[in-house]
Amino acid sequence: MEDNTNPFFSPEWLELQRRYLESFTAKPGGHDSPEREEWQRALDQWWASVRPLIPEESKPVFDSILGRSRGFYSLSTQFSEMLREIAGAADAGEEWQSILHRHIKRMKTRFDESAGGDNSPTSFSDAWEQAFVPIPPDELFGGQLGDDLQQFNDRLLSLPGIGPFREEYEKVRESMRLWQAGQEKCREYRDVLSRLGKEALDRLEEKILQMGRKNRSINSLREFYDIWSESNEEVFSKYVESEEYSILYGEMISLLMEFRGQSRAVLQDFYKQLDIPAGREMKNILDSQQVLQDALRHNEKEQQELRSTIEDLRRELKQLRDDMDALGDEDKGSRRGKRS
Amino acid sequence: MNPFNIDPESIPAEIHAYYSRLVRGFDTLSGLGDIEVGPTPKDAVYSEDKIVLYRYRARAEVLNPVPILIVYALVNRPYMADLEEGRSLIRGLLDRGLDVYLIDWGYPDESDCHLSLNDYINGYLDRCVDVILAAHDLDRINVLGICQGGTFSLCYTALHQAKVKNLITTVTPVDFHTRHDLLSHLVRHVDVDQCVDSMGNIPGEFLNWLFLMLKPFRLMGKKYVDLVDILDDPDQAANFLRMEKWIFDSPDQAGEAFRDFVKQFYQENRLVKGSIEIGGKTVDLEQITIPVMNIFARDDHIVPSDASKALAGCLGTEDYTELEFPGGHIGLYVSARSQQLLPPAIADWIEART
Repeated sequence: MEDNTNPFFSPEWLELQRRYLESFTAKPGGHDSPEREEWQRALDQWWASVRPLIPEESKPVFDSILGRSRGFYSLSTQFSEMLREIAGAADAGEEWQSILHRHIKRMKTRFDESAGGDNSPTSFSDAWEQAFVPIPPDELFGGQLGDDLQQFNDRLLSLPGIGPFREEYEKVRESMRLWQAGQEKCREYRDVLSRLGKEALDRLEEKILQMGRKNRSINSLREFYDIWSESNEEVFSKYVESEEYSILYGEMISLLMEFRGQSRAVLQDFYKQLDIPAGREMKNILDSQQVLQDALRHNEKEQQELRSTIEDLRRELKQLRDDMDALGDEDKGSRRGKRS
Repeated sequence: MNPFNIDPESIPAEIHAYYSRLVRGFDTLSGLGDIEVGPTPKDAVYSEDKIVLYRYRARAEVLNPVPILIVYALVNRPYMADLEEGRSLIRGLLDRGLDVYLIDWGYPDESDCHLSLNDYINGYLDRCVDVILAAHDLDRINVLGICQGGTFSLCYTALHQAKVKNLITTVTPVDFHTRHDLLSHLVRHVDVDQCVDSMGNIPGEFLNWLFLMLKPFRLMGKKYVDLVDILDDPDQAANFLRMEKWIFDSPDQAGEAFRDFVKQFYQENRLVKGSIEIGGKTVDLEQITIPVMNIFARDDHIVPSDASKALAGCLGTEDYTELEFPGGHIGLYVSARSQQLLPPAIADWIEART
């Protein structure tokens, strides 16, 4: 039934997408076919057109849903080919296990190709990352530079700082150096992720072979995704416990923080030149405020203690007065008794 | 047997069906409106700087004259304990006749970068306790700590035991160097001085990243793919968004408190060694002689149960109770099963000691 009230839903668009899908999944090597790109592009266009309709705070969730699912299904053409070959294994006189092994091996090779500098948006490792690990660490550093900017950065770093603005220039240079060091650390991190991705493919193969031995079946792409995701998680969990990861992670975060701090210092110099109060001045004010606040709290506490002491003394005094009054009464009573 | 029971020709249909569900489901999600959290009525009874002390309105006759103060972590927001009507530890405690207070630490900004653990524990927390004591004309109250808030509660009790009648810790790290403590493992080599000196406060997004990277494939990948299965159901979709809201609602961390906590607790593991220094005083858990109930989750990936169980060997009390719940760190507060088990377990334990 058509849903005319749903602004996200267009039957014509979905029908077109279905045709693209059928077309590229039917092709050997469909992963790299123009139809697949069309399918992806149409998905992007649809998303760009409906995204403004979504409440602001929900946008990240929607982005994640679409990103993950798109990443996974864009890998699915790999499996279409594999499944076709496995389905025809008996006719071809080949064992399904060896077909599986061949395809797993091919996927691992594609990881290596991506690591070797294949930065096309459709690279296997990109799709893998999109499907499984959506936060590439270099995003935290503000993304990667293009080649031109990278060259400019390299040249800037090689120039010595001289002249009246030497200090400011050195700060910029230091900031760029930290950024570059951060990028290198991120590359290292990505290489580790690729390595783990390949190890996870081995784990995936093991799991599927084991399912075969136990007569268990995989009935959909989604089930296949779940097994693959589980394999990734298992391999990653083991690695997270290693000293190597702890050091890599620690260095990456420390560099990132240092870079951000240095960038802030550069920005503050810029503000200073414009005579705008910046973080350093604010920090001085906050420091003084903190000292005053501590003193105030200390005084309040002392005051409270003094109040409580005064209250205790008042009580004591009252008690003494009462005691004295009682003694006076007693004294009067005894005198009266003597007279009578 | 060949385990692949997938017809290659059916793959486009499966992908297409998935996207059709997704496209239809977006309508469900976008129609949910604002996601409400923390539905139980409460009143602000004290505030100072950015912190607010709340008292929850009674839902039943208050049976226990000694109020209970919930101390939440600085990380994320305390409405985890009152996520929605059917998933609320606070509501469960109120229904059992407890008088419940909670400290909301707020969202620290630049002006709070100096706040140290001393300010939080001997300052804000202590003053909130004083406010409750004065309001009820009592000498002591019950304290319930959640996660890092549990660690704060332990330190507070060790330093101000005369004001605490019973202490309950939930998913609380005590030994920060147990074998499967991944969080501790990750921060072991982070130069925390560098971080705080550079940044002042630590941005919440970094902490999010840290937590999510413990199980990235499940927490950042699979769960979004799986979401499509429940998009037809607005209630389930709203539950999902509510959790998402909580996960990504992470306040920045006051720099000095973060430095103190990561160095003394995570990197140097000084709580179990009895050498934590807060405000010039040493925190010795052996000084705690009041009744303590320690609750932890069996499958907790943020605070492994071993990290919590270590408390047993550190205390001076002879009245120590341990309770293990099935499930994970968050499940302890939001799972349907916990709603049945956790509030009565806490209420009964307190009742027996009042």
